[in-house]
Amino acid sequence: MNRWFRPAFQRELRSSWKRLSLAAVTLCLGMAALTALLLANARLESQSRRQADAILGGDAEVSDVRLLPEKLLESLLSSPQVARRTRVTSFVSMASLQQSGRPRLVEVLAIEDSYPLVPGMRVRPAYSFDQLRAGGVLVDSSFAATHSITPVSEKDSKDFSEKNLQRLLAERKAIRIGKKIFPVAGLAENDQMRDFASMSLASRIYIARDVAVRQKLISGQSRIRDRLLIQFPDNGRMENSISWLKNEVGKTESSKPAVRTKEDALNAAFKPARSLFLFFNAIGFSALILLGLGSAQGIHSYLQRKQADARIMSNLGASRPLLALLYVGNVIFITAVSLALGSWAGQLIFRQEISPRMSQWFTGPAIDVSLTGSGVVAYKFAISAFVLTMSLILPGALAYLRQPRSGSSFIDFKSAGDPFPKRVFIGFLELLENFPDLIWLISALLLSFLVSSEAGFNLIMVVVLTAVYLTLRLAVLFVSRMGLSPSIRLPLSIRIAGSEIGARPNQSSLTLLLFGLTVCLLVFMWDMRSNIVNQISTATSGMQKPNVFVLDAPPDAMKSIQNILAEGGEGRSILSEKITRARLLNINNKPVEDWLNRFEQGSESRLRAARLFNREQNLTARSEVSKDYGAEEVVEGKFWDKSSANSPVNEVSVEAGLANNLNIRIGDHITFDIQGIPVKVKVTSLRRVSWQSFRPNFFFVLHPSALADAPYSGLFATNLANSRQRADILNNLFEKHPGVTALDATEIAELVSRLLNSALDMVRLLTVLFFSGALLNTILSAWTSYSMRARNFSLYRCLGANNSLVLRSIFNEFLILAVIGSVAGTGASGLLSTLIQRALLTADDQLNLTILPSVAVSSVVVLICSVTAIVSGVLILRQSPFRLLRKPL
Amino acid sequence: MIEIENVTKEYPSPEGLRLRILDSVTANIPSGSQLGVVGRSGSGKTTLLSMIAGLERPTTGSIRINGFPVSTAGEAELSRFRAREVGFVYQTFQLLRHLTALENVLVAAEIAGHPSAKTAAQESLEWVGLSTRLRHRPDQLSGGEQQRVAIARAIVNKPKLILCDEPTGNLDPQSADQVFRLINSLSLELGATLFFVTHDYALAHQLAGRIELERGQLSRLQLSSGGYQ
Ligand SMILES: Nc1ncnc2c1ncn2[C@@H]1O[C@H](COP(=O)(O)OP(=O)(O)OP(=O)(O)O)[C@@H](O)[C@H]1O
Ligand SMILES: [Mg+2]
Repeated sequence: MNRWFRPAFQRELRSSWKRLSLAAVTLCLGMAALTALLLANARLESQSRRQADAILGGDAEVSDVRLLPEKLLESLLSSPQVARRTRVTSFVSMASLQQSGRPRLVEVLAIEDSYPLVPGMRVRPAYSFDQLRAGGVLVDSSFAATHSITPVSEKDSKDFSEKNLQRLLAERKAIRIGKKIFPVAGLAENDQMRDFASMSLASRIYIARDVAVRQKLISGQSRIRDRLLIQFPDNGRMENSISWLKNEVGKTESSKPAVRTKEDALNAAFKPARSLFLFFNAIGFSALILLGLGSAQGIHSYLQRKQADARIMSNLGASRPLLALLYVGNVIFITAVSLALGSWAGQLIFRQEISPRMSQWFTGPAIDVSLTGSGVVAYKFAISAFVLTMSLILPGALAYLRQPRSGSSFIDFKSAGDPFPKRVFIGFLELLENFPDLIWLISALLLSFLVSSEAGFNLIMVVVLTAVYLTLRLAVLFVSRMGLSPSIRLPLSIRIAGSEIGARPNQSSLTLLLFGLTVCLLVFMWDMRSNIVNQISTATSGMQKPNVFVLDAPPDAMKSIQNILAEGGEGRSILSEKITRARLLNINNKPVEDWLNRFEQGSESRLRAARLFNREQNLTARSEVSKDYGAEEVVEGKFWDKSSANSPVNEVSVEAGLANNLNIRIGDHITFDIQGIPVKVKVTSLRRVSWQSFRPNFFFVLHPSALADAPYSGLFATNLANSRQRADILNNLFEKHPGVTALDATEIAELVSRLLNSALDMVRLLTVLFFSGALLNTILSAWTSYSMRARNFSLYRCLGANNSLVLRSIFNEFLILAVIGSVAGTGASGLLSTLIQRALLTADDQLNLTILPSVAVSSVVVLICSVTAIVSGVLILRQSPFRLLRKPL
Repeated sequence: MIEIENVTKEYPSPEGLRLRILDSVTANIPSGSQLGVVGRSGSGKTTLLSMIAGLERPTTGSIRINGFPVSTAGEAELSRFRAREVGFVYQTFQLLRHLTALENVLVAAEIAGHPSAKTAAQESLEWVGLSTRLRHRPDQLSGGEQQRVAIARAIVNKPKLILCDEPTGNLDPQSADQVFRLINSLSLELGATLFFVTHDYALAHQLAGRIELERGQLSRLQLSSGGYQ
């Protein structure tokens, strides 16, 4: 190292540290956000990948709510396209653990020897799996633990005498399903995700399929799910195999079973967690952009000063490599320190704040992710850090390479005779050098692909931000044009403020962007927060909300079930609905397949529609739009009135979101297949329904006359708050009506509220992060523009401007920035919400925008700006204007 | 009448000593005088001008200009005084780079609360011969032109006092001569008192009066050609 270089570098660092420190802090925060995001994303990905196999239990699944057609099974089983397969028939039932006592809701899985196709289930003791064939069952280990169920001894497992079984039941070594008692052969432990989509949170009991068939367990059930899990040959042509499978299933006559792939299952299971995560991802990513812009601005202003120093040093004869190092050395040093600190902080935030919350989204043990541990994260981190560093160093490097108008020892790569491409290239370099924010936005674009798998969404963010940024630049141009122009009669302080904004177009537009972005994101988060809070209150509040659902009540048992549910609770409200199961046959006389073709092949809306078409729908009839639900509202068209109840009206009211997904409009005709009989109805109204209300809601509500002759089953919903009472009533119900299914939704409601609470926590965390970022950025932007502002206002003071004019002008400058920023930010938050609504949410989640947050957040921004302006004004006024003017630039 | 009485200015030096920059300067200068201010570098010329303009306060002593107590007046009065009564021209032009020539002049008129600021600014620029360059920004003007904009700004409010701190220091001899003559004739026309700091004795000699400073002390004060005080 050169003899004088080291002291020079150290002195440089000491004198520049103050100027760079805020940039370093923002960079640090940005890096922390990036690291936390990378880790959270890695965790989400690895956890979901690990559970992807377990969720479905194969590459694909063919399923139906009745037994799969034999013909289809035969053709699938004989095909070489299928490497391995297993059939699982499941149903939800009530299981008794003792002779008398509270029956528990369980999901019975009738499985074959080949189950599971993918590892993910451990059985204790190991030999117990073989005893399934003999007639034993396996029980979820957590279920067994809560109810102190233990497996039978090997000897007992072979004795199926009624007496022995009764004894085992008393000893909690057997379980009664329906009328039959089964010894518990062993305990099963699995990492399976809870399937949010099907809301089946019931504990699982495994039984051999041929035993279940022999014991007629399956044939007695009305709500079964028959699934064939398939694993394709490992030849890397999964796509082909899937389309082959769909084609095979498509050949089935009449009602077609549904085909789900691993992907589909994953998406469905993760939907709530995933969309929440996408929110945070997008917001965290914007935080990164916000903070990055701040530090880019700080470093840029530092470099502009550096330019003059470097020129002097070069005239003093410093060698060029030395100069280059001096020029970007500080920035590299400070960037490196900030990156190290930031990534450390990010890991801390992830471990302390994010990871515990994410654990609530998954079941099973947490997967540990770290920056160094997992290859993918390490490589993403390295590239991100590189991009980040480069984007901050690039302006300096370019400025060094192309010292403007200096001549002497620097390269001036532009000359008049240059060929066109070179001129364009140099023009581009100049653009980058003068607009550090542009470099940053380009880097953000690159990072958006790296940070998460949902690059598309981040990309939208970058595009929106860039658009907002360009608009703001135009606004700055406009304000500065107005500047001091004598033709506009505005108070002098406002005109001076305008001209000051125009004097630093880069800084002003950056400041504007920062304000705008902050307002946008804070408003957006506020909205999100209030939406989540609303959801929590709808999901958990009120004893009135039903938590017990009884399904599949036969028509002749309706009265009796109603009475059982009403026992011991005077005035307990019990909702009852008649449900008719039906399939969509055609819309406007077009078969659903044709209707599907209206959607673009492979598009999200087509997938969504296909999912709905393949499913059996629950219909109900109502004579008027129901008021006691409180959560149902006609948004388009007209619901029939009560007076028409006795006349034949073939009309249907469709849920608005579904109508939107399926492209159904008022006046369309829908034909349902109700047990082989086509029923054609006309769409006359669209309803919006609050799904969080936990009440039985329906996509299709028909006029009573349309369903008059259709077979139906009953559905009851009521609230049994006391758990003892709930157990007694369900037990009683189960004794008298073994065929019905009862769903206890208390756990689901709790789970939902837990999920939402964790989301709320994350929003809080992000808000704090943002707010400190915004505060820092405001200070930073005032700081970096301070010297020029001080100089200009000193001149005004020398010209005779008094303190009041100076203060008012500075105040107005910040005020104008805050107001434009707030307006732009509010607009952008609207845009963002719309985009998120479109891209992420299905129509059933509504993100309601309100005016209050924008006003509140904008006021806070204005307040912060005012304080900054006053502080900065007072600092300027404390100096002697004349002495300030004498200082060299 | 400019009454400078026993004015002393001290600055604390970085070593903690008190540096005496001006030492008991006393002078009574009648209104309308045209003075060249000369002296070696560091003799305190700029410091003297800044105190006359009310931009710095003397450590001891007092300055009164036409009865106005510059050295003791409050901030608001001083600002008004600066805006209306003083025109200052700096060696380094001190134009606002983001404003056009017209706007640079205009802003001074507006700060002084000139009733027809725009016409005044245009007129002022016409006087200095820049009526065709109203919309140019400083970086589109030559050094001499920039200094003429600064002069236009200094005279836009028709001040009674024009203070020029080496306005020709950064200019070639021809432009310097042109600028000097412009200032001289304008101040005569306005009947303003002129303080013109320069290292160019040839220029200083063209003015009727002269102030010479030597190490912070007034070594010579000549109010009109011929007479010494
Ligand atoms: N703020 C300050 N603090 C300390 N010393 C100062 C300060 N301002 C000026 N000085 C000192 O006061 C002395 C006089 O300065 P001044 O600028 O008045 O000289 P000058 O006669 O205008 O010189 P020049 O012809 O070089 O412009 C100088 O020695 C300078 O170092
Ligand atoms: Mg001087």
